[in-house]
Amino acid sequence: MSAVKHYLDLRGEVCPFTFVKTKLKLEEIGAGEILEVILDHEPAVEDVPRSVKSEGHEVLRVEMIGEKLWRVVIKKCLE
Amino acid sequence: MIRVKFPSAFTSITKERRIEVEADGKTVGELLDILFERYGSTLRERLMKDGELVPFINIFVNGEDIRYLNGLQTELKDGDEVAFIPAVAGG
Amino acid sequence: MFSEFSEEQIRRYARQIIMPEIGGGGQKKLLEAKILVIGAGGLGSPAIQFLAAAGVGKLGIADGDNVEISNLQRQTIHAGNLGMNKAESARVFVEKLNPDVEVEVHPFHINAENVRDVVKKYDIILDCTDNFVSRFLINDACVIEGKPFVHSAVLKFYGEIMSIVPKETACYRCVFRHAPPPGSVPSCQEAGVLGVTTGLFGTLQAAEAIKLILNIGETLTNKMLTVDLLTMEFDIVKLRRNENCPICSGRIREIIPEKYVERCQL
Repeated sequence: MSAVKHYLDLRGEVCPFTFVKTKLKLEEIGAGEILEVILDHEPAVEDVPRSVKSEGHEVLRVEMIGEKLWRVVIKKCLE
Repeated sequence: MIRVKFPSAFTSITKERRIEVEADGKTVGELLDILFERYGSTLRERLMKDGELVPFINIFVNGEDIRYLNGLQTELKDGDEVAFIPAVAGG
Repeated sequence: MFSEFSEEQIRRYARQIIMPEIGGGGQKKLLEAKILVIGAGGLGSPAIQFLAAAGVGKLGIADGDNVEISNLQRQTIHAGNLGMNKAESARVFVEKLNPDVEVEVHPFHINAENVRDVVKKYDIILDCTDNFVSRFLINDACVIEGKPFVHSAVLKFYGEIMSIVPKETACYRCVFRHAPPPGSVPSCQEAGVLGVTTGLFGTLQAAEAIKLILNIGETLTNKMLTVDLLTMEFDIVKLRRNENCPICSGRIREIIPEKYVERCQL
């Protein structure tokens, strides 16, 4: 059984709004669900996973999917 | 030694903000007598009416209101800190 | 994308949304909150400033005075508004700062006749007044109406602040039974006050209000924080509900105007 997946396209967005928007989206989805975030701002690729982990969520993977394009896959923690 | 802290509202009378008083084993009431002796009747008039503490000045020993300890009979020991919280209304 | 917030709001409140204690959920609560600031003077000025900045959705501001030059030594939100009613002047400031905030102007002084009607409409009240009669009025009205409020008062370099949750924690009257005889305690007009004193305490009031709305942290309930800026002593004393308090006990359930002329003794 695969978990419910949500998507967030943050291309064009920069820090700290990359984390702010990721955080807001995580608040909206259900516990244990997955959020895939697309980023094209390099500092955010470190910042978002770190900030999201500090709030107790799990970062499943961070992968480069194109030139200056990344995907961060997050699993929302159980509340 | 008992540490006594005066608020801004009293410093026109006491001049000092913090003093140490030899009053171990005495009650708060007895400490007040020592202070009245030291600072005169103006302080007494500020704090007392008809032999009782006026209700808009609260006395705290180590952060506790003496009304919930033993009032003016509350006993003091070495190192205790006595503070006055007068009502102020500025804003 | 995010049902709750516009793009501008996300950017405006970014610095507090990222805080775990606040987040999007907390920001929503702030935007839905209704806070009344009674007194747009020394304490009210910083309180209004920071509540508006944080995005409190509805701010009631009550003040019957006009802006005078001596106010500008501490009431910075009134810059440029000499002669204007202070509640109105505060509204002008808030509108420039944050359009998310709806300001309800009450351009009059709170008194025994109107206090309950005004406080009823809000979630949290801030007592930013400058006299004992108002303070007892606000305390009694808020306890009767069941409205949590934050009390603060200052003089010179000194100030005090406590938060009251009616029927649960000590109220102002539990601590100060009734007003002192007129003339026995100097006012700021007589003894003075610095902008930094009112600035600090009004800000602390806003902090308490935010914590009460968001239900986070520890509030100054059953406690009073006193600060003396000359010596930098920050002290917290413990307070208790006075079981003989005529207001908390519910013995008095109405505001009787004659009682609030001088001594406010019930």
